[in-house]
Amino acid sequence: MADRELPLLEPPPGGLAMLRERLDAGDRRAARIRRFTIPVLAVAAAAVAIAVWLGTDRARPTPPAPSVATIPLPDPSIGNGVAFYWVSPSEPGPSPSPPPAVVDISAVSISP
Amino acid sequence: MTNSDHEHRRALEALYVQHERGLYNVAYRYTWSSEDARDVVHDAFVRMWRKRAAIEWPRAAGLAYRTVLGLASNRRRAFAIRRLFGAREASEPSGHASGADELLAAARTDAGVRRCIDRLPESLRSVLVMCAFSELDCAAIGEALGIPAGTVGSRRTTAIARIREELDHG
Repeated sequence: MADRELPLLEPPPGGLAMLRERLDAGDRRAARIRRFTIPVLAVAAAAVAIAVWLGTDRARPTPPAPSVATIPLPDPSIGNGVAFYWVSPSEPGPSPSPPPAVVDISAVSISP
Repeated sequence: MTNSDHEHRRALEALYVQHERGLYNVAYRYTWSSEDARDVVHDAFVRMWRKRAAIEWPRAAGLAYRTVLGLASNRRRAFAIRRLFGAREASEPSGHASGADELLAAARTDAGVRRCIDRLPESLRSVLVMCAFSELDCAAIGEALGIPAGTVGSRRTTAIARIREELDHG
């Protein structure tokens, strides 16, 4: 049945040459892709690294506000006319209070 | 190209030369176009070339037939879809006969056989075509199709009986 109804056909000539062409073309394409892929990947990796670096740099926490000196604050606990500068980013506090008055007890007589 | 590639190329070309006719005939009975059949065979060998490192060439004939069957089946399905949408008319007859009478006779035979083969389910069609055209024995065909050798024989008998019935009644 197969001999009568299913005749064996001869393939078109030149099949092997065509196959060789296709295989060679495929190899050339693969080599070209490999040749271009490596530099492209390297450039892409460098670009990604730079982008990450820039992103990290910009996300760094901002430094605190610089400290500034306020107007001179009198400090009578040290002495009259002594003043100091409040150097801090925070608001200046109250001036220190003057020291308590010193009493010379040697001049005090105690009577029985 | 490395030495290993040269060896692979030699083995692949030897396989092609040895099985070209069988593979072409198998593909032709799926696509019914000589150009498509040759394309399918070449596609199969290009695929095998890409996977050359994993192929054991002395035993690669079954793989070649299996690949051709898969690709031819896909192309046949694509053709059916294109025809469904009217994108392509029925393919040309084989074109291997020379005279007008021979062409006509070949076209009639082609049409009759094609109708019969096309009506077979895939499981029978693949076995019938492989048995009729491949240079493989039943065991190798079974290995290529993933079925036991006994099943190859029984399916072949069933397919021939169906075709005979079609031809007798058609």
